[in-house]
Amino acid sequence: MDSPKRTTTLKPGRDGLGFFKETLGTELDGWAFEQLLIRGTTLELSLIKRGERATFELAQPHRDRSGRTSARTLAVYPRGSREGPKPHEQPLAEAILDRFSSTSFAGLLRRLRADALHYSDPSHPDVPSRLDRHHRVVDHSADWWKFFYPNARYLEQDLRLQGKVVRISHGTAECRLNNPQMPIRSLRYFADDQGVREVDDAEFIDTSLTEADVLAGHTMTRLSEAFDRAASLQPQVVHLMTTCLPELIGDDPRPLLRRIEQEGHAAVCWSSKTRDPAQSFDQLISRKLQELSLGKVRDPNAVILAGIPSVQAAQEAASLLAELGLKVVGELFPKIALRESDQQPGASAVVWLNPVGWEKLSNDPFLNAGLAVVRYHPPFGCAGTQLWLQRVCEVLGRDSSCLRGIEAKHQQAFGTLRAQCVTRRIALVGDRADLEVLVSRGRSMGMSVASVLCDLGFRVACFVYDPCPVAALRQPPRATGAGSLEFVPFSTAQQLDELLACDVDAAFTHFSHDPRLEAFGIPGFCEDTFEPGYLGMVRTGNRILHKMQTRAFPRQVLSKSSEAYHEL
Amino acid sequence: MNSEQILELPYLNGVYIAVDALRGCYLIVDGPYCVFTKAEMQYCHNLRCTLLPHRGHARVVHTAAESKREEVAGAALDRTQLVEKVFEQVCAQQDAQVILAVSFDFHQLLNFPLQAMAARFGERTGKQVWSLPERSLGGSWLDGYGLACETLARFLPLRAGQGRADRVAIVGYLFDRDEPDHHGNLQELRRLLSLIGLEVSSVWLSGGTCQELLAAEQAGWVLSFPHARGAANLVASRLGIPRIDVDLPLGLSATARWLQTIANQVGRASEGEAVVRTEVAAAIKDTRAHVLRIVRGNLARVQSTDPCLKAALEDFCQDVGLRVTPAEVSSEILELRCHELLFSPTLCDTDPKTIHIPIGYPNYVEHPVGLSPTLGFAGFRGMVDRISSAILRFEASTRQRTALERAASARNPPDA
Repeated sequence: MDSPKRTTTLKPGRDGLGFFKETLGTELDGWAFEQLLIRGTTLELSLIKRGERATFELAQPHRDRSGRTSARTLAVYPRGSREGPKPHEQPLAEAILDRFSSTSFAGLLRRLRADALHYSDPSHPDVPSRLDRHHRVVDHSADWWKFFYPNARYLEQDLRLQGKVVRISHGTAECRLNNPQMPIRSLRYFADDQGVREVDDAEFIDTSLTEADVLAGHTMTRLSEAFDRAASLQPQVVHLMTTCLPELIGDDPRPLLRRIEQEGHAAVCWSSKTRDPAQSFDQLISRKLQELSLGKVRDPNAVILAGIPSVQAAQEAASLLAELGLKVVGELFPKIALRESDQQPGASAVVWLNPVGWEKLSNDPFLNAGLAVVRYHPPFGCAGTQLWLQRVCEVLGRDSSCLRGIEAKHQQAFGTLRAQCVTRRIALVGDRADLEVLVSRGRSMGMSVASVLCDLGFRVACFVYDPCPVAALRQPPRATGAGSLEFVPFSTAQQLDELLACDVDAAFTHFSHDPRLEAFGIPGFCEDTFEPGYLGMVRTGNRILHKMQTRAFPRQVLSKSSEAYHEL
Repeated sequence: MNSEQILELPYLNGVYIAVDALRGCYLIVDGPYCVFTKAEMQYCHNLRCTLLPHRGHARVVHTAAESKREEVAGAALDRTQLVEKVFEQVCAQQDAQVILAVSFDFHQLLNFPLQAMAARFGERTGKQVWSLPERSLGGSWLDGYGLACETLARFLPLRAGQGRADRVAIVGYLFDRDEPDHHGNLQELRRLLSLIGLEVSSVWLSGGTCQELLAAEQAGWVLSFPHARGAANLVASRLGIPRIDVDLPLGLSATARWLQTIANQVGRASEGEAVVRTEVAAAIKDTRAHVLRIVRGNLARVQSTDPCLKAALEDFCQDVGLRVTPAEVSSEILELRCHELLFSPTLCDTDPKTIHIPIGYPNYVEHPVGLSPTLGFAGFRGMVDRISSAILRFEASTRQRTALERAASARNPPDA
């Protein structure tokens, strides 16, 4: 399949960044290091001096490109402005080049990539999100072929804060009650939508603004009253959420936030419609980490596990890390549960289990505390888990010779599972862009759904929508992992129906109840079905098989009543 | 959400219920994409909700399709063309018979000329396009439902002079979902009215089309139900027919009173008395054992933001020997050795020590397959049936839990 060119942006890890900063040095005519980003095969360096910023691209020298300051193996391009490089940028570029004269660009890039932080780019994933592709679209007539509506996750909002938390919602009841309010999965519109987040036992205060409050100019009074009530509860954290209406009328809660912070000594956090909430959460987390003092004495074997989707996933990750001689001494995100104490040496690294959705939270608090950070693709499927463990070994300097042995322990379970999966066929449906995400390992899910399914032994059929299908889109099944992968094009709803009617046991869909699948009694699943780790993979496989085995309305009955069923 | 705190649903929730209950009705909400997520509450409450079809055009439509994000700056721009485009698109839907328009909270402050635009598109397309009263900043869901019905009553082309004395139009029935609980209610109301010689020509609202609403023209009486009294007034006055105000016929006494009131008003008092006598006797006979052996003697709390339903349920409780208490009474339960029942919608967490009887809007946890009325004598039987089962299930599970706990403590004695 053609895959559109995408540039992944990574941030450097502790060792890479340390090397870069050390090489760059500090004497740059008053210019200081601000940020380094790894953008595909180039580097973007920002320097600042008294509020002014200079940005440079470091890359392999390119013959056709002008404006470079170049040695044989490394070039520095000032970003400048539309008018070209600013006067001070040229000498800076030369100084940078001079500092890196002893290294090739390829070598530098390799060194930075060795512990680079994946999923650290806070901009949106490349695929259109559910908000853009579904919620903002009111007519889905043209989307008869679409099953894939990935939800852009901003998990920092799901943070479970320690201590007594008070949440204040500043807005109207109309705004607050804009979802079902109850996490009844089977009733929801989208299969991965729980609606109500599993959060801490926070006290909730709602300003419930009315027209009278707005017309009389009393909205800030309502908020102030809410803050008074919050203060009386003596919270450790106050989380203020402001919505569209108070922002439209210009309510500024900052004096109230400052007041409660100063008087009550509570940490505050403010998320709103018009400002990036991650910054606020970042500050809160930094403060929390400072309070916890990440330990002056470091145990090289002690790590903090971050980005934990479930208790089971955390347990397996801990036991996998234990095989590498690492001990999990704390957990972060969504809970903040660090078990460090003055008596014990502190952790020396943070290992992200699943960083997808946590992009907006910066790793600077860990890096600034001197911790190594392993932030890589989450361990979905056998191959994904191997790569994740490999990365942990590389970044933390562990021996990786035991990795095959770890996987071998699960071979019997995989064998039993694959024997069942190999007879089953799963459909992934979408246009080329959707299938690109489902087949490749992308930012929106952190895994290739197709690869994990093939790893499990399923026969994966990708039904590719193209209004004018070309023959090249059809690819017969080829062995992939323990299963197989094939591509079949379609261009009409009837063709899709024919494909779904024939030998499909399950299909990927984001809808809880997808009439196109239910017309054939086909169960649906989405990325929520998947779990990381080897045991997670076994649970994933069993879960999908279970859906197939509990297919309602036998096919022979359906075939006799397809008309009636279609009407549903 | 705090335990058992009941949430007063806002205005648009009620408007959505009305739109879902009228086939061929579309709603344009001048507001952000949250208009869509809000409709999901109705989707969870009504398994046959058609507001958000997976394919095709949504029936609840926002005006934020062009926005990149919900921003103050975006709201301040001239959005006339953008909103016009939405009206054009909705009016072009073949099945759109009625198109309503309203603002979402902060858009109400922008004072966008929805009314003028609705009138212009009504003229231009020949469709029925009306704006609703703006109450998103403070109105309740009951206001939303009532005012949506009232708008229909004000503008639908009703012709006077077609009515017959033996036909009634029910106006103000809260048809919150197209499921068999409401089908059962409507069947029972029709049955009861037929026993006193009345035929129902139209129910506002009942999940049908505008044609069904227009059939109110054939009625000689308007039965005004509590959830849209304003609409009932308008229908009666526009048709020039008398109106009978009734409460919800929920429970034995309330249903008897309801039927007798109507019978008296239409001049069939003696038929009413005879029917009530027979029906009450039959209902008591069918439910006596359940009520006397299982239901009576317990405590009940009614939590509802719908005052009509709350009053009706409290009345019902008296019928079946449940003592209504205003607040949680754990200590009293132990002392009296009885149970506490909680009648409420499913929008609040419930104490596991109480027996929850879900009723009202929304009800996420019950979606009957067969007819399951709550109104009338049939509804009385159904309610007694549900409550009895809930009490017995609760007792059985409590016993089972206690037995399991004993077994567990025997295996692991505290000393060990």
